[in-house]
Formats: sequence, C-alpha cells, structure tokens
Amino acid sequence: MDVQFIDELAANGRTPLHDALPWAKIAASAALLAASIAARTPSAAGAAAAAVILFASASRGQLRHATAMALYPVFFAGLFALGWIRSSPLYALTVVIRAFSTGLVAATLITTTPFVDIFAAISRITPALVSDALFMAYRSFFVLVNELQDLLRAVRLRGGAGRSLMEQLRTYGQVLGVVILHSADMTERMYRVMIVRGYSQRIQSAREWPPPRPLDYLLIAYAMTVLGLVLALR
Amino acid sequence: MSHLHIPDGLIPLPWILAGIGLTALLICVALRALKGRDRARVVPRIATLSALMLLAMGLPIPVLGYHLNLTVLTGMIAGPAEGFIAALVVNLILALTAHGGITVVGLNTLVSGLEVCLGWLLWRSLRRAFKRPFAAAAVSTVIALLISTTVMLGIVAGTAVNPGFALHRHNHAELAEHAEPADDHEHVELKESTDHEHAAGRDRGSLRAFATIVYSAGAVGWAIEALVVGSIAEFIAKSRPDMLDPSPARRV
Repeated sequence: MDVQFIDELAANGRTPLHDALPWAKIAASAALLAASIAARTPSAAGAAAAAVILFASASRGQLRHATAMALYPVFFAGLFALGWIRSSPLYALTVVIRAFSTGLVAATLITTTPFVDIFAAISRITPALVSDALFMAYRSFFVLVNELQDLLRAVRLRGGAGRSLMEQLRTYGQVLGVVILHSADMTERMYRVMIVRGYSQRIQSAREWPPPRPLDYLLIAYAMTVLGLVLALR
Repeated sequence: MSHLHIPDGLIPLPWILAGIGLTALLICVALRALKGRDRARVVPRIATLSALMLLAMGLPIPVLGYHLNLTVLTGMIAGPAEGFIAALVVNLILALTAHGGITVVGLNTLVSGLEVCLGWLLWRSLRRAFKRPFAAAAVSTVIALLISTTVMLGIVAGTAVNPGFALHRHNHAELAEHAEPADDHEHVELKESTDHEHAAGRDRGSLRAFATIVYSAGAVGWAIEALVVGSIAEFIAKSRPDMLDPSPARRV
C-alpha cells in the first residue's frame, strides 16, 4: 500500500473520473459496491465485476494501478475461500469475485478523488475528534514517511538491515523506534500550532462544489442501473 | 499479515450493521473517557499513532504477504481510548485503499481495537513480570494477536458465512419449491435431515480447514510482529521510558 502514490494519482490525474464531482463518485461507488456485494452467484458476481471494470476504465491508464490494488483483497478472500473450495467451489469463486469488484470500486474511487474530499464526506457522519484525527493522520503520514525513507536509506548506505530475517526485523524495529520518538516531538509541535491557530473543537473541511454536470448524473445513473439489475436478478 | 483484513462480500448484512453499531458504541465510550482531556493534545496523538500504524504497514518485510500493524504497540503507548479511535482511523483509510472492506470497517475496527486494548492490558500486566521490555512487549503481542485472530475466526464462524450454511438455506428453499405436496412428506423430511447433517459436517470441515490456514499463516505474522514490537519497546524504554509507562494513572 503506497499512500503517497495513491495521493499523486488522485491529485494529478486528468481523466473523466477525476473531473467528476466527489459526491457523484462516492454515490456511484456506493451503488456499485452494493451491487457487487448483492451478487449471489458467480455469474451475477462476474457481471457486476464487468460493470465495475467498465466504470474503472473511465480512469484510463490508472486502471492497471487500481486493478493491482484490488488484488490485495482478492488474496485475503482467497484465504477465506480456501476453506470452502472443496465443499462449495461456486461459493468460493463468488467470494473471490466479489472481493475483486469491491476492491476495484474502492481503488478507483481513491485513485481519482483526493483523500481530503473523501474525508470531508466521512466527517459529516463521524464525531469531530475522529474526523480531525483522520485529516491529521493523513498529513502526519506524509511527514513521517519522508523521515522513514531517509532512515531506511541511511541503513542501506551502512550495509543494509542485516543478513538474517531476525537481524532485519530488529533493525526495522529500531528504525521505527526512532520514527516514534520523533513523532512524539511532532505531536507536541502540532499541539502548539493548534493552540496558536485557535483550534475550536473541529477542523473545517467543507468545500464549495461547482454545480453537477451531465457526467456526474451519468455516473450515478449507470451505477444505479447496475445495482437495480443485480437486485432484479436475485 | 499478523491479522486478517476481512474483505467486502463475506459477512451478512445483520453482522455488518452489528459491527458498525458496536464500534459506534465503543467510540462513544472512548470519546466519553477522553472528554476531560485537552482535545488539541489528544487529536495529534491519535493522528500520529494512526500515521505510524499506516507507515509500519508499508515497511518492506521480506516474507511474502506480511506487513506490520503496530496495533499492540499503539495500545501500549496510547491506552485503549485513544488507541481504539486510532484503530478506526486506520481502518477507514485502509478500507479506502482496498485493504479490508468498506462495509466491514466496523468489524475490522473491533478486531484491531481488541488488539489495541489487549496490548494495553497485557503490557500493564506483564511489564513488571519480565526483566526486559523486549520480552514483555513480544509476549503481549503474541497473546493479543492470537486472541484477536481467534475472535476473527469466531466472527467468520458466527456470521454463518460458511457456505454450508448458505447451501443449507438454499436446500430448504429448493426443497420447498420442488417437494411433492402431501404423500411425499416423510421422504422430504428424511432428505432434509440427511442434508442437514451432511451440511453441518461440511461446515465444520470447511471451518477447520480455514482455521488451520489462518493459524499457521498467522503464527509467522505474530512472530514477525512480536520481534519488531519487542525491538521498538526496548528502544523506546531506553530513550523515552515515560512513553511506555504502564502506570494506570497515566492514561485512560
């Protein structure tokens, strides 16, 4: 999972899906997610997956990155499915296809929509403390990831993390220990900044959106049609 | 992969809703516990710990498919209230990047939140029992992950996601459709009973196979996580022992 790369794809991509309004993409993704989960048979799950791939293909070249991300839940679903492969291979197949479709929906959404826009939507339904922590965690991640990369580079320049797995894991532990100590200092700095800026129990994240365009309606209509068809097939 | 991220499409709706409901309840409890604290101090702490968990997941562990979680360490540093909220934040971000399902954020948070709480509890109990912080942290990690994996398996078993149950329901529906009305009644009941026993046997077999895979793959993950968390704890205990102070008065 490379959050930096995902953020770059979402922020700098120029595709029809990037142009769509975040709320339209979130609504369409929710409908496609529901359709993928509602599919009960391998053929229905396959049809839903095809519809999701069509949706994701609007992100053009980024489809391959989203597909690669979607393979991760497939791995986990595969573990779940392994237990059932002998007793119910069709169910196992359905589970794996569903995991791919839902993973692709999430991956497409996150690689075409900046995190901040999605967090703004999430913050409408979560307590202020949780949504503030979400925003700040994301920001902190980028500060800490640079530090971690510098430390790992330093370790490599000094001959690597060690020969055996044991040595490597111990080195990683110490590297993370350094990052944790620095993160404690960073927490203190963030606290002071928040006090200076007059933090008032909530970070404002609302944004003015332009009026919806035909593309936004098209996305939602497409996703709702897919969901309707899957539900009708049940 | 010291614990499993449950993907979408496996868990039935009532359990998804129950997971979200219970997580919401526990978040309310955590918020209540943090009510008296300075929010400007609490938010950055939770944010930094969440970022650290995400960061650790990106570390290149040279064993196929494994990544660190640091949930237990988060519990040791932050305690259960801040730690549980951090677990929710991490699971929300993970779900958006296709690591664990969006609909099962609640259940995944309960599992990783349990690791956080157990980490805090075990660290508090074991810190003085072991001479070295490494041993206390490593043992806490293994026990916490073993329990959370068992809970995850319990969720899988309890939610009847096992296809045997689904098939069983399916069999009933098919039987109801295809059975002859009156005179074949006994035959249908007998067939139902045989199907029932057969399906139950298959359920147990499938679950056992799944549990074998999870425990054997998980054990490697627990060992990796334990070694790293132990090393971190040892390092922090030397440099900033106050960060891992297990005294109950320090945190909620």
